[in-house]
Amino acid sequence: MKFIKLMLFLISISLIFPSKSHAYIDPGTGSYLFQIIAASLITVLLSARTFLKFVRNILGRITSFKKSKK
Amino acid sequence: MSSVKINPSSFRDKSGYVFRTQSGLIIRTVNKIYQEDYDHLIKSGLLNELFKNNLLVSHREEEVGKYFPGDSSIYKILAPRKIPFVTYPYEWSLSQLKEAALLTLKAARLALKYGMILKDASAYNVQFVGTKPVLIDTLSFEKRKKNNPWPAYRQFCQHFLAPLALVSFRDARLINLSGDFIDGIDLDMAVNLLPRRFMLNIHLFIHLYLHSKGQKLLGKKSPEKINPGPVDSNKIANLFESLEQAVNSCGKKKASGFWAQYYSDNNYSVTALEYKKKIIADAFKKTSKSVAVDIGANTGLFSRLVAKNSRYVISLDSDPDALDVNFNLAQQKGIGNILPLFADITNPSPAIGWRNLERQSLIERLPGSNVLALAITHHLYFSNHLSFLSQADFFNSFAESLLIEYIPDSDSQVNSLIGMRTLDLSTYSEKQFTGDFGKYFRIIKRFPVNQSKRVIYLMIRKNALKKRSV
Repeated sequence: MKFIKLMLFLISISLIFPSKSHAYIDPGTGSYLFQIIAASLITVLLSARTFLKFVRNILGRITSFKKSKK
Repeated sequence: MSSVKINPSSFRDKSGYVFRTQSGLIIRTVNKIYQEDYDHLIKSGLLNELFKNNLLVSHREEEVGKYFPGDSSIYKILAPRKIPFVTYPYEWSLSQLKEAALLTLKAARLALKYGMILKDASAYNVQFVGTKPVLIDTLSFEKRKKNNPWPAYRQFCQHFLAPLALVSFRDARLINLSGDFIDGIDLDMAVNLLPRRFMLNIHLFIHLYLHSKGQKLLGKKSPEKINPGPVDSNKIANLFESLEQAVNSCGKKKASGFWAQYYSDNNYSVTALEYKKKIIADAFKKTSKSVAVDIGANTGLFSRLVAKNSRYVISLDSDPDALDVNFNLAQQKGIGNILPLFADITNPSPAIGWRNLERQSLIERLPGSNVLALAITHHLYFSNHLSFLSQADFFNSFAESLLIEYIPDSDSQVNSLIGMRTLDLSTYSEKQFTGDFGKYFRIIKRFPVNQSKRVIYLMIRKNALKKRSV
């Protein structure tokens, strides 16, 4: 849950504050940390997509089975 | 010992350096510092797999002592297969950049399977052989440190994803921006330039928008303090899949560029066009089977025609839409020796990078070649104010032979170019044209184009060319 909280924090902060330039911020460190959070978020998204496909597939089979019985 | 000279662009990675030998051979050192990774690359079977899938340029190993006798810091010497013509990302079309990005991700995925990681995702590590992209940096693979994220994530987003989104969602001409930012386009700038609709794609939203915000918000934090947890191989593989979907979402719009429609919307009659094609094909039978450079190639109609009688065709145009059509047609037709490139010949790509030596200018790279300059001289003359003598001097710097079209001032295209301007046309004549070009070139044949007032000349240079050949 930690990464989801971090991601939500990131989204809300980015929408509130306007963009400014920060010359002494290392984008490498930011990217490094962001990637860890993003990789977890993407894994959740892709797993959810696979699960939804699975559910849709099962529902499709049930519907076609019912139709063939009728 | 054969003397070698280091490539000015080879200084970023201590794993090995690129040199040019006296005979023009490109070699790469594998330094002792990279020995363990190099051995793993071979023993794990990854190198073979990369070769088998044409993802990485093939090489042969050479004796270290032949080039660096007594140098104990060098483990191996590799002599990679020669790339016919080196290009840079700011000279590619959307399709080319996309192909290069997908190739990089494919190699990264494969490396992950073999316990390695692609540590660099620089667009400069990809070169095109005709329409096929290939990775050129053999030392980009290292053993993966357990639970570490992908070290090249930011580089991939800056070198590939940001320009792809800009070209796809904003304007195809923005490919030029990559030349101004050698380390890739900063994500905050890309986000500022992009229209908001790019965020409708969840993958682009994550890797460009949230990534740019994340850089600023997390850049000051220490990784130990935040400790977001380990990144296993599964998460990295998912990251690659998401990046691939982001790349694929950068599609192309319908070609709308003026030049992309040129052949279906010009004042050539079908007979005149066919006759022109015959002239070009015949003329190329007279030239040596060498490299051809097609200037103002448009969608590549004549490039494809001369490809049969050329070793390699460098097909240049300044319309990114026409260039993309050219690339896709060469790919579809399976013509392996055409390399379409984005280039404005009146403002060719300059030398860039550290000391202006990292990336060579287009003119420096152009080899001695058979040059096609069809329907271009009137543009140079009227739009760019370049006299015939100045044009001839330019072509003389790299053309072994020249197939060039003269378009008289009575031609409707010339009239459109002149428009409302009052110009002195006294120096715009066929006599002036042949006189000025005759100072540098020997005129071999004059081909009047049937059903048109245009004339095509075949010329051969008078003095030997000093340029190196491909």
